[in-house]
Amino acid sequence: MTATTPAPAVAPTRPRPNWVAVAVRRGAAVWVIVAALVLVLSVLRGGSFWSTGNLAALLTSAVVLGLVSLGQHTVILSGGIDLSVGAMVTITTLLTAVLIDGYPIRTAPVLIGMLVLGALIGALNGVLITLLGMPPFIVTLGMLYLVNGAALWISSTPAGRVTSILSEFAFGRIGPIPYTFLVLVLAVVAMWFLLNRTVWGKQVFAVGGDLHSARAAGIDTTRVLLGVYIASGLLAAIAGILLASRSSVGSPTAGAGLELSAITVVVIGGTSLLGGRGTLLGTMGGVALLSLITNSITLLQFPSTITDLIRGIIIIAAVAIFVAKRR
Amino acid sequence: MTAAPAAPTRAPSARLARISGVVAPLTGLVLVLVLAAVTTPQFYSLEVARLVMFQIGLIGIAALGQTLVLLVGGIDLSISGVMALTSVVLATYSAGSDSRLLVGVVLAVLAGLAVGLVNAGLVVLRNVPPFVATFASFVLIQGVIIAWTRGAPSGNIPDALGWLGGGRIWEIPVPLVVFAVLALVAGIALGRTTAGRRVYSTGLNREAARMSGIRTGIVIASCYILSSLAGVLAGLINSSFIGFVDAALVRSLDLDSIAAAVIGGIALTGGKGRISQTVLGVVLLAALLTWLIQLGAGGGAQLVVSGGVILLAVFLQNRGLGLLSPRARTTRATPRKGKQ
Repeated sequence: MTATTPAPAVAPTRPRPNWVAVAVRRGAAVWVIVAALVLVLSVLRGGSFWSTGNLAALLTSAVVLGLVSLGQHTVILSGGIDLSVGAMVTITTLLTAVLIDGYPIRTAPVLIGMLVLGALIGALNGVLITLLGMPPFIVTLGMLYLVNGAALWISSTPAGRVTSILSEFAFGRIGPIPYTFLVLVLAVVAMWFLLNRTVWGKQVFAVGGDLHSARAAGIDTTRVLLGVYIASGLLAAIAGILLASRSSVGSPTAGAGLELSAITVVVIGGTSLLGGRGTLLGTMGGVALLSLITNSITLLQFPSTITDLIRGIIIIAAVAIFVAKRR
Repeated sequence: MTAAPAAPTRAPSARLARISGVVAPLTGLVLVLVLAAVTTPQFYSLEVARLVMFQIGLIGIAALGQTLVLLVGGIDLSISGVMALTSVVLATYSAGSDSRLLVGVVLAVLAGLAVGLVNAGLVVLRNVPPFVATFASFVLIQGVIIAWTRGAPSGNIPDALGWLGGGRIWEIPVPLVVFAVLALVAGIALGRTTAGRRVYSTGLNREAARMSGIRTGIVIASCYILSSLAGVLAGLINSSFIGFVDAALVRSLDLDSIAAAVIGGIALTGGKGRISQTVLGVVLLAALLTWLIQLGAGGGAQLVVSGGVILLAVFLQNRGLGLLSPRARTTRATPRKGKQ
């Protein structure tokens, strides 16, 4: 079955290039929608949309989702899925605030500890998936509940306090560009480099395209997949730290639902859920789209309670329309 | 094609698999009961026994639906969403008055049907991976509830429904009786009828089932719809037990139902497992969770344990308790993709 899939996939595209499909796959389609939405918002609420404050808020809101989606993008490229990213953001947010608890001297060690924690949870996911051969979705689903439960165990109400250095960093900006957005840009550039300019990146695509062929070709698939899940955990930890800095307390539900938003963003960006195909450009377009939509609900003064409804409708529509049909 | 070489060794290894499949959850159950006796002596009182029986009924009904979906190679992460939706629909429509109970229940069933149809449509027609499709509809349901109730779900459930969650028949809680009847029906339907065979063959090999004339799309769709209806029933029981809409709605019955089915030995890959195994898994999980509550564990610790139990059970299934390691090792390369 795996041997026959590439053949029909190539055959229909050759004679008649379907421009819409190509645009979706390359990640350009989502940017067209983003541009259209920006245009609509400029016409309806031009003044408030282009104000420095709103632009900064928009870019800030993209940071956490962007970082998490970057990890999810890599995992999905490798043919897996990571449902535990939201829980990892939750626990790192909560622990950052609870462990620092307002003492400046604890800032650096706690931040390093959080990065290690994220990498460790990611590594645990990776070990269960690669060495023990368990399906990625059930491993990361179990981890989602486990980590969320641990977070609720630590504190069932918002707790802790971050230091002023962190909150100053979270709220600081150059013109309309927040410092935290620069972290996202840095992470995107680093991930782009890793995926497109290194051997490891090529191996991620190869493993996602066909695990068995990749192994037969001599790729150490275990090492590649471990790296992918560790990267996802690390990025979630960075997102958690930034989220804690911004909200200044840690909440035990901080990252709830982020995992599905991240999957949606990756899928809207044209990445195949089967692995091996996708562009960072598309995923970042998805992040821009989801952030813009949340922003427009505020700008157009809709009640904030419909945010979740709109997010749900977009997610359902995205998976119904964009998920590639198998066979 | 892999079945051919395995055929001669089938009989003993199948029996071994069956024994090891029952031994693991039974050992777990005995362990929990012994530990409970040592650490929390009050575990063996009528009150706690009733609590365990209620838990078995509630988790069990959801686990039956989950088992059907797992058997066709899917997973349903929207069950607790359906439960929450049921209680909100019932409370909003009936506003606590008994005279509007019947219509409220009908509306709740229709809402559950709608969710089941969305799940089925996404999985069957659009080939969306089941965990993404059902998780997405869970988020949509949450969004609907928040938008509809303006973020503060509240209201009372009619008293006339109280017997469903709180009633007893000869000291046995009604939810347990309902579960027992449904488990019997499901067990007979799966083990003894054509419909049951269709479910198994679709789960084992969808393509082969389709070739032999089974309309696999309809089989899969009906499993998702039945699972949502099980969610509605669980929602009715839970909300009638509490008596009002629980604003937090944190009870994670998705997790519990998956955990129960998987500890019992239902395979995530589909087509393998019997209802009796699910029942055993449900009893084990209910005893475990009740023991944790007796120990004073909060919601967080219960989540940790259920999550850990899922991971452990899937790990043991893949390994076959070490008894089947040679066979497990040869098949281990294949489930790695684990998408469907």
